[in-house]
Amino acid sequence: MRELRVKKFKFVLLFAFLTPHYSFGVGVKDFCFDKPTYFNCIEERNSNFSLQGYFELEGVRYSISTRRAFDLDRCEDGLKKIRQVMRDDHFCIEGEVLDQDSKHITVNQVYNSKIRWTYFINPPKKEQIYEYIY
Amino acid sequence: MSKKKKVVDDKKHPWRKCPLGQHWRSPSHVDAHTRKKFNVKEHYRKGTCVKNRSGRDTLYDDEIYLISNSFFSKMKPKISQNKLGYKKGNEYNQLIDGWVKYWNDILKPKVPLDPDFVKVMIATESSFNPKAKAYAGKRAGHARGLMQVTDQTVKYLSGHRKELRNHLLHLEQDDLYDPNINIAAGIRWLYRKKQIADARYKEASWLETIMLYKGYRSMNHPQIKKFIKLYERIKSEEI
Repeated sequence: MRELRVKKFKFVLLFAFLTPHYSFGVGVKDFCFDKPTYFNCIEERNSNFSLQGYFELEGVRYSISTRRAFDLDRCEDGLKKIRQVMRDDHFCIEGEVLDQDSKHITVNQVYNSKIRWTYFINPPKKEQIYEYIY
Repeated sequence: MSKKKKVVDDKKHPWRKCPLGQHWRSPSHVDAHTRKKFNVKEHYRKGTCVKNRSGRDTLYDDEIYLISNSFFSKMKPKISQNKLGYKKGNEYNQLIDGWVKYWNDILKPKVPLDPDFVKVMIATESSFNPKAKAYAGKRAGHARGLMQVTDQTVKYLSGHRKELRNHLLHLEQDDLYDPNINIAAGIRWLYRKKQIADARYKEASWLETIMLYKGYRSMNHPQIKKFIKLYERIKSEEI
């Protein structure tokens, strides 16, 4: 009886490790590119501007935005820096996603090998914030 | 001819230690110093109620701590235990529950604020990072902490330009990295945004209030849709 219980437990454990993990929850993902993606400042309410963008990957359109809309000067400074980053041959966008299959990214940072733009000032490492790094 | 008595609402929240118009100052050690040409010796100052300069109900940091330490652990939790995928997703549950109850009691909205709503707000504003700091522009200054309360908001919360008629908070910018103070302040500010949204939309929903807080115009904005999805998740306990 005990042997049967141990065998059942080992099977459950093996099953859990082998089963692919899909769409578990909010996590962070990196998308990398060889050519610039689209970003712009879009007017919202009360003189606030939203930094938004999009890109296509394997025929699927992904949208990008920031957590909040802010003053025009902040949006334009951010846009200028992001466009600077994107001039490099290779750059990446790190963003928060609702789950692994999400088609929308809340942008955390845009970076290449030399410079980066970050939404937060001095952000911590992603391993400190997210349980799921996709 | 009888004089009509002026009815004054002098009820303070049961969690407050001092009468209306005063705030609690904790006991502290005072170093020797000179004040108005007098030499003051080093001494221990007892905790006491101090008159608010504004004359209005004001929370200071000492009392924020006194309230949370005295009452929050005794509350039955209403908030979801869902971490939403964030490592610190459950770390501030008690503070959120407590301050939502406090501000719901004080400001008495028709539809009480749901603590899970605030939890999702913190997730979308700072990803539960209490040290989060972002530049919000020349007008707003920096946004700090869990609920990304801006420098401009700190001024308004203290009574600047009479943006708030009552129930103020007296804070310093660096206080906003303290989760307890940040949540107390952020929820109070959310209530001010609700008041503005109510004037605009005639009894706005809390979701319309979030739109205002984040500066977005439409419910179709991806960030508002994200908020809704997270809130639905927390309510259905999908994860």
